[in-house]
Amino acid sequence: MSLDYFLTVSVFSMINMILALSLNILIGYAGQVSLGHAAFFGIGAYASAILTVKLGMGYWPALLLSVFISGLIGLLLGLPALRVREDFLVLATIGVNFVVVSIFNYVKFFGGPYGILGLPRPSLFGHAFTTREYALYVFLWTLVVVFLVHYLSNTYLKLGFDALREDEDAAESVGVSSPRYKMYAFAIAGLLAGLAGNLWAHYMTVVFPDNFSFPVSIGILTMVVIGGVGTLVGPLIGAIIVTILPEVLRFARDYRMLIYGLIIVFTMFFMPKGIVGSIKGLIFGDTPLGKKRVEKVRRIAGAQGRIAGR
Amino acid sequence: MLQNIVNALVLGSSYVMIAVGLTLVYGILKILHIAHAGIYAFGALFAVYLCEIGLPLVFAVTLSLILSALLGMIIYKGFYKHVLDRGRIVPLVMSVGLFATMEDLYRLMWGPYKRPFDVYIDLPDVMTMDLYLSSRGLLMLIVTAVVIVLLYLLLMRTKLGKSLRACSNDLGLAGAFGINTDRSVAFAFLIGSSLAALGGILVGLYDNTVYPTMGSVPSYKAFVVVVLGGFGSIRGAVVASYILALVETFVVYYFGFLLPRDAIAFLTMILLLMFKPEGLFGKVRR
Amino acid sequence: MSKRFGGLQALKDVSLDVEVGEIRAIIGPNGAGKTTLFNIINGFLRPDSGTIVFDGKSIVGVRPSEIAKRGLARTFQIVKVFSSLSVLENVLAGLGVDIYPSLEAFQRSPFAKEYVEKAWKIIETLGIEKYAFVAAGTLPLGLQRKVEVARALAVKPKLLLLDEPVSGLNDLETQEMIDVVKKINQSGVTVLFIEHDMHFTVNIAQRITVLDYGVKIAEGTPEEITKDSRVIEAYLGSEEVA
Ligand SMILES: Nc1ncnc2c1ncn2[C@@H]1O[C@H](COP(=O)(O)OP(=O)(O)OP(=O)(O)O)[C@@H](O)[C@H]1O
Ligand SMILES: [Mg+2]
Repeated sequence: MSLDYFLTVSVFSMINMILALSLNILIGYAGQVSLGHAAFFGIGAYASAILTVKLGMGYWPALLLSVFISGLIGLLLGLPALRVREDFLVLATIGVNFVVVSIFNYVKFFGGPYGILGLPRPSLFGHAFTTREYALYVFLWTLVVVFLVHYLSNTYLKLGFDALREDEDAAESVGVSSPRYKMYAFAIAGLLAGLAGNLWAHYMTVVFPDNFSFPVSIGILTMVVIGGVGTLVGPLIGAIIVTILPEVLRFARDYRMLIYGLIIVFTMFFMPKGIVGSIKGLIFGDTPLGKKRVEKVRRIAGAQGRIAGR
Repeated sequence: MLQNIVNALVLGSSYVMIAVGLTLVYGILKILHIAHAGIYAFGALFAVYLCEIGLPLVFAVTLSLILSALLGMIIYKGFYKHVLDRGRIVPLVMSVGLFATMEDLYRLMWGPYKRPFDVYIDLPDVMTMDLYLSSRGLLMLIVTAVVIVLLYLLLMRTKLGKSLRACSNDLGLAGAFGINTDRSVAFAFLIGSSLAALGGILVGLYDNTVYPTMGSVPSYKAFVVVVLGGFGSIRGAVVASYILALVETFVVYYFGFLLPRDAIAFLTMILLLMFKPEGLFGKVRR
Repeated sequence: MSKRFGGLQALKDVSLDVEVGEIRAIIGPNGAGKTTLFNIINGFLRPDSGTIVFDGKSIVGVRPSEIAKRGLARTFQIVKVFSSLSVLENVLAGLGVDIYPSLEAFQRSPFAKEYVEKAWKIIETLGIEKYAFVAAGTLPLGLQRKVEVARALAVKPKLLLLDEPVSGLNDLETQEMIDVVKKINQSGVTVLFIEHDMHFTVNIAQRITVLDYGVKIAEGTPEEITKDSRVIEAYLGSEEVA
């Protein structure tokens, strides 16, 4: 196995991790089932491609701008979620994926089916990143994203998402404005997917409409689902599995979609909580709170009890 | 003008065939049965395969419809049925997985290429001054008309149809009134799946092409129809099929459009879901 | 206020004046429009006509989440706990009422000491410490109703709406709920509740309002209401003969 090959697989794994975490915020946290996640990914990639290739912008400003645009469009594409009955959001997002890819395909400005070529690799102090350096760069971003999502998982933002996912009316009744929280979810997911798009586009240095079509969305969904919807580690593991599996099973390369499909079906059948969710369940039993948190709460409650003189 | 209307009728007929199954399943189980698209493609591909190995068209079609119906049944009994109580995400994701699996299986079995549906249809082409309708288009219209009538009779006049409608109103209640809901649901899958397969065959004939991914776009569009038709209403779905087809055809013809017609359908669906979520004919629900 | 659903007049010129600190009951046969009234008060539905003044300000057209923030909490007839969250998290979610709309939501942790302490106090008030770490959706109905009350209390309400708080509960659980609601009221919370259970209603309500077919047909103390001929007729005229 050559180093370059290893680096490429690693870069794809990490980009997929970012994508999976991003989709997980929508599906696992906020309960907004989106099946058009590749569209967000594509918007980040195309935004950066146009900014750098067509408008001649440098990589760094394009990075900022493309991620910002993705977040903004994520917000816009999240609008249906405010009105659509929950199970039909899926349809709306499939539609969004389809429309976005059609736009890439049929609007000249976006290069049509031949895409946009010649994206620059980022450079720092006049030195363009080598593949190795680029992999390190992606790694740094992945760390940032994992840290960020981990941090958010421990805030009232996350509890607001949880409430929204569990029951929209009840969430409203405790002060969670459902439109606002849906918009938060879509904006954050859009930002992260946009970042992934940017990283991917400048690694490949070309973008084509097909890179962001519906099957790609299914791939991202597979990562989240097999890893464990709503967990933090699950999507990361899912991303690695989905990226590496076709590489390991080289003979089965031609069967990629088939394998995705079967994995999805059987995960839903036998362990709907995914790998991480199921393992957690086996070890800790069915507690919704982590062990650490339970201990922490016990400590606080216990101290309180003594103060109250019990 | 006339030509456009006839084109739209043909297109609309293809939507009817897929949308009926989706509507039945959504109406009863509240599942977005995305794998339905896989059955549509299977019907066409398998019929072509049978014709290619020398079976006469009628046999090929019959056999393909039977197998498709069974396939639908397997999807219900083998998969959905076991995950119905696990919330809405699980069956949905499972359906997506099933669909991906099916499409890829067809590609592996029959190759990824477009193949012609080479058979002779014993019907005349309709050709006048301002209208051309191929024999295959004519076949599509006739068959669909017959199917709509039969479906109407089945749903309105038979005991089975009544229990289907009861299930669609309220599955739990229907069960409480002694209707064998499991059998009704299985039946919905049988009918829906064979109609989808028939739709695939007719479209395959009309376009004279079949290919593994032929189900994706039409079936997502059929969801547009389900939405338009007001979720779960067969009559609504039939009317909506033709409305969508007319709108698509005329928008493309008179205004031209930046995007392909499928994109129009999806845009329509998104806007509709946003601004008229109960569908054109649906009841208001909270 | 009035509300109509298509051809159905769910509420017709109903006017209700709940005084600070009181416990008020709303009773009436099935389909009388009681839940609809709650849904209008807490902002899920918009009245076709009329005004709602809460704490001196009109709340017509205000989002439910904003109304909650102003100190109005509720429970649901068909329980709506956050099923897969622990009981503790259900309560913590209620404590976030002031935090959600602000940027603090991105900073504060619900598991910070101050919130956990507050949540635990509420959990103790309801006597459900034992179930604090259990997924709320797995609990029996009686406990789920308590979880809903706990969650609503976490919102720090001035006015608490309870939609059939003891329906489906056994006698013991009902008695516990009576005690809890009295305790809540004594801490200064105004309570407005809907209930078919007459034992519960007569036991804690200071005043009772009776709805029938969307119309207010009577209002008064429990003694007055149980003797009112229109009320008796409304109940005899329905399947609620008990
Ligand atoms: N969203 C809605 N759309 C249409 N009709 C509704 C809606 N909500 C309630 N209704 C109807 O309004 C009427 C009043 O309903 P409501 O739920 O307020 O009754 P209720 O007094 O709470 O009855 P119960 O004692 O059975 O809970 C009923 O006929 C009901 O079917
Ligand atoms: Mg009610």
